[in-house]
Amino acid sequence: MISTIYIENEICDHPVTRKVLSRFTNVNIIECDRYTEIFNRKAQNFRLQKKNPSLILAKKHSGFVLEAPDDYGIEGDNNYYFSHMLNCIYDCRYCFLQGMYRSAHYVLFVNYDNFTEEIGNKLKSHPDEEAWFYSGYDCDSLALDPVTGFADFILSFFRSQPKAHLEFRTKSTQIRSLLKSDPIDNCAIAFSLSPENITQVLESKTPSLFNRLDAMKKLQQAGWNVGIRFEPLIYMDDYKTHYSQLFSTVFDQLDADQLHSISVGSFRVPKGYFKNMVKLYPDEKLFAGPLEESDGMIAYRLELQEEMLTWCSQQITDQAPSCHHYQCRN
Amino acid sequence: MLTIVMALHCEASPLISKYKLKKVTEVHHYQYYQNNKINLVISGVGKAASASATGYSHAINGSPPHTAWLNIGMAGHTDFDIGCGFLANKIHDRSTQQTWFPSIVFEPPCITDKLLTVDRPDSKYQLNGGVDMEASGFYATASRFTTNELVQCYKVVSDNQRSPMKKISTKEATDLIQKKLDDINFLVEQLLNARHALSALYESPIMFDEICDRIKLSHTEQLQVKDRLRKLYLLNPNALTNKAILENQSSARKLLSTLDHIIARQEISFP
Repeated sequence: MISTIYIENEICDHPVTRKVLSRFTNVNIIECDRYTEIFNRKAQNFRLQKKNPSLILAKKHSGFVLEAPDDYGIEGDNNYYFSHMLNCIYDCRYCFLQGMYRSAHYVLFVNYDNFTEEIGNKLKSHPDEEAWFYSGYDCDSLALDPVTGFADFILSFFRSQPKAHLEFRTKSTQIRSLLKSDPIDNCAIAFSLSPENITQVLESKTPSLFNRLDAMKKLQQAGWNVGIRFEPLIYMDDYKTHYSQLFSTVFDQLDADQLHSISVGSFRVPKGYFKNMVKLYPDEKLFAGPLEESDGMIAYRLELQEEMLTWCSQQITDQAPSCHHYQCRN
Repeated sequence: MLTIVMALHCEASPLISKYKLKKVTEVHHYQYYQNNKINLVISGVGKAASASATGYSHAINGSPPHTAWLNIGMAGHTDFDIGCGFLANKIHDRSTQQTWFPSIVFEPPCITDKLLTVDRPDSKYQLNGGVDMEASGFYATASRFTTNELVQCYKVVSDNQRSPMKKISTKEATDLIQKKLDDINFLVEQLLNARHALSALYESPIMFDEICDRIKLSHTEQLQVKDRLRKLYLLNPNALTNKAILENQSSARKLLSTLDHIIARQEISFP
């Protein structure tokens, strides 16, 4: 539960600020000049802050829409990502955010208009081509949506941009705003799924697999494009048993023919972030696994990565042969 | 350890009694009290005095990592009642215009509010919040030594716009703090627990000291051995009870190779 909200002076009266604040009672409001005074400060402990994170309402000044890393996208050459929030209400131990940011507070950029303006500019630079825009790189796209209302806002933009494709990446079951609105073809809601043991041990505070599947079914039934991201694949000696159970459960519950896309990707983190993660969580078993460094990234030993990606991909192809399926390697 | 920094002895006396703190006679520059968990230093009035006492305390304790710090004292406030205790959520130094935001990671036992640190007593109550003379000096110094979450400032209101500042007797000061011992004790416990949880993460792994007794390790080798022992413990806590690992280990290189070999054989599973 959020008990403290920091607000940049400049956006105190912004309509989104007012709307967000109306969702809270009994919170401490603290004014600041720039969110970086709190978020980027040295000598903060992400692990301690994660016990009681605050919300920071801020204005983003630049870098609204960025080129997606190679191989991040599903298709096409024009792949971008954007983050209306930094950090996530969940606490997944494999997440790179805990190694990237000094603070565990959530930052919400309230100047939503600037995101759509910049997406519009990117579209103008590819007048005859399609482009893909990914939300949920530095946060979970939907987890705080009842507070932010961002999904409604961004969907209203994409509704009139048929050449622009939007992907929400999420583990959240906060789908009420999506179910209330008409589905659009150029939007996919991609759910990250892991075996139940991994969800329980490494994905603290996230909805259970059962609840995520329930949300996915409701979205499918309402006509939304639903995708699955089996990422990150976590190595265990008996990974085949756990992932086999996961695939069976998922494809029993969902209509595989109607799925928008499926991806698999192994656990991988930039070396610097990984170092921070181990420093914060030296007691985490995941980090004691068969990991190695290659080209500045920490990942499972190459042969293990290949083995898992190949085996999981084959299982998916067998169970959902008609679904667009790809591997994410970066 | 938790170090409490307070300006005046009359403010500190309820804490000295409650925690049965003993005067450390070897320390001559400050009045300094201690038990096995808490240090308390009487800094004198003003941010420079508070900063200097904080730095001094850190140094004489051997500059340990993950220390916790708490500044307790009296403050004026625009409208809080006299005797009300509050935890600072924003500290602003009027003369330097610097601002700090203490990170409060627990549910506080009291109100939180902003705090302005001034160089001279101020009875204008212009800021909608608290006014003191120590917090910025204390916070700027203590937060150099540890993570922000372990540095807090707690103030008890001694005057406000309705009852402006007057000379407070030592008994009044003592009473104001005495009445807030429950809040203070809660903060002390929270900070000690957080500090303990953090320190426990970085203790030397099992068997490390024994290895150091047997094999001469360079600093880098020590880090490598600690890393391997940590991994082995996480994968199989029982593996480190087997002292056979240490037999016939004539060098760090051989030991590291043995540990790598054992780690590679461990089962990787998540319950």
